Amino acid sequence: MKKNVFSSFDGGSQAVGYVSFPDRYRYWPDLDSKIIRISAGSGLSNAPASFKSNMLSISHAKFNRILSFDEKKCEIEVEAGSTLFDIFGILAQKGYYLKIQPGYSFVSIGGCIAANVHGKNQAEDGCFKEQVVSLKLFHPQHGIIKASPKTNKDVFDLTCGGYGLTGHILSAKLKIKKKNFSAISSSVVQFNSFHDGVNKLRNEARNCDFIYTWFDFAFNSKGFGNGLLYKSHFDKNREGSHFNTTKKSNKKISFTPFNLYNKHTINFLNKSYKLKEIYLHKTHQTFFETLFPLQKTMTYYSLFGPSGFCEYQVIIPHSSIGEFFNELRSYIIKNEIIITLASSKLFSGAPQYLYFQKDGISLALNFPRNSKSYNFLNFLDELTMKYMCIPNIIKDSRLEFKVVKYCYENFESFRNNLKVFDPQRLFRSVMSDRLFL
Amino acid sequence: MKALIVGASAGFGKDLCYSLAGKGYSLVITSSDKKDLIPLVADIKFKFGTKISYFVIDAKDPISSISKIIKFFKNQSKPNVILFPIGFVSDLDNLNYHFKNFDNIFNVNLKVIVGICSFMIPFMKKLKSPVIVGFGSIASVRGRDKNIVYSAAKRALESYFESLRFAMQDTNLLVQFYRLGYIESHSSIYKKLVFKPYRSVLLANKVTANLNKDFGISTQPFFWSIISQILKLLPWFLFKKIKQ
Repeated sequence: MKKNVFSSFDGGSQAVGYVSFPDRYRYWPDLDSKIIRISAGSGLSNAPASFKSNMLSISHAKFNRILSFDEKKCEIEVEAGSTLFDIFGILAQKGYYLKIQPGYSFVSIGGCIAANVHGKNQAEDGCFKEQVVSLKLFHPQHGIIKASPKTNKDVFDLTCGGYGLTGHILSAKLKIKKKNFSAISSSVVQFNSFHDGVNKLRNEARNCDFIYTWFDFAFNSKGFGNGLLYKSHFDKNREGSHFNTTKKSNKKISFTPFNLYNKHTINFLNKSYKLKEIYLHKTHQTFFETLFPLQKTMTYYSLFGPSGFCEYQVIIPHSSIGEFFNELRSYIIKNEIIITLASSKLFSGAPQYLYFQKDGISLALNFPRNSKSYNFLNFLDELTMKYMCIPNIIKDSRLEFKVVKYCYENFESFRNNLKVFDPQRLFRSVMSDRLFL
Repeated sequence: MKALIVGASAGFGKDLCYSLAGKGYSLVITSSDKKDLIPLVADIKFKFGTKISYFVIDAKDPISSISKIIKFFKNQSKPNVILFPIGFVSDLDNLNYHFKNFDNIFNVNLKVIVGICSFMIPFMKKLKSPVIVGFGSIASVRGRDKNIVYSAAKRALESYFESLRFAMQDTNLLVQFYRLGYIESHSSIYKKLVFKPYRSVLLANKVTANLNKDFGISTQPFFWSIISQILKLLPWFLFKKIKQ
């Protein structure tokens, strides 16, 4: 193993620990079964879920192979270190794709399962767990466990969205979809207010394959909450080069020495972005661009400067969306908070364990990490608890125990079942310690 | 064209598999752990559509390994190319290393390779464009204070390949030997090295591209050939001061 300085993607959490890069299967049973450890995927989450001070992080990067491909059943089995980028390219050649994928392609499959991530239309498609047919998990005390919705269901439910705390996810069998379209058609619709945008999102989500909004939350903007609705759908009637991937780029952010986003620039940047999207939006996007819009945003993140940024994502119940927004707007304007990104998606699903799913509208916010951000995050926590929302654990590097415990109604059952499965709690991270898991 | 890769499951051996599969070779791969071979075979089959088979050998036991190879190829066409990206290093390999452990190092780094070559060469000489490729180490250029037995085994292997080339000069069988400097590997990640390790994928592609060339011994990456010459020529009073 090697000493390593770890950092969460948002720059909010750092730790010095140890990292190991195994490339042979004998590594798993050979490793001392008493060593406290955690699996590491691509290390791209805002929450420090794959490292802890003086503890061993085990990278799955070398386990990135395709284990089986069943065209009849529409299933692919891959090792957990495979990235969405790897799988996209391979499936594209065969005329298939994964339906549920987060916006950044270098995320590992193990990471997608552990965080039970969502795609571009969660209300229609559900979370990543929906497309996991089965998985293989290694835990030193249990050996290799095969888990699926039918076999070892308790382990399956605990592992999907379990933040890597049940063991090392070795491989997973995933449902894939046959590509029955020839191109992606994309459009942008303007709206003048937050409520207008949310209503449009609700009304059109069921008719689109991918849908989300962008809001202008610049505190000094005249039309605070106006924005754009992005809609895409599979087009069977038009030809297109939809499977072209962008060149593989460096997946780690290197923050610039300065922060570009401040009260003098934010309004201009938002207005410029909006105009660009209205007039220069590509109506015929490649499938890769549609699936992975964050692929081209590394510059956006790096311009937050050395302190990094904060992200907060929350699902707001439909009944509270108006009040939540009004209080949020007042705080942002009064305190001149620089919101660099505000975006919404429609969500649905019954609460389960720590899964980020609930009926409502998700709102994701990005803002620079500075003297104001700590108070703003506390305010967001209060608002989240007040309106019975749920915050996204994987998007926030400092989310507190009391907030998660209050908002996730199944928090205790997750914690208890985890302790039953792994009484010694061998798998830990900065995040799991913070949440007393 | 068929290639046999001995020591294929991880690191440079694994990269060689992908490189050769990419060039259309059908593959027979071996290593000591079935659990590593199965995913590799599945992945290569899926990505390249290559014909690929595997069997497990424990190179620490050369007799059994060679028996398995004989058995496997009994009813199969023999490979045109054999590559030996196999190696075994022990952190305990110094002057205090127990003599009982010497065998493992010699068996994996030398004996099994010699045994396989002895069995295969008579068959290979009858095939089209046969090649045998061995891999040594820069560690064997001059005696040193660690990996002592390993260096000795690798120097012996280099000598064996020199002799093999000499013996095969009138046949169509090409004998190639690579003396390798720092190569990216499972263990190189954890070491503080003077030079950045060479990417094993690039080396694998180079080896594949050079399969038809009669160069004898090649040091890779190239700058290591200069370093190895310097190390060889360095007077003892200076060489002994180098911290290894």
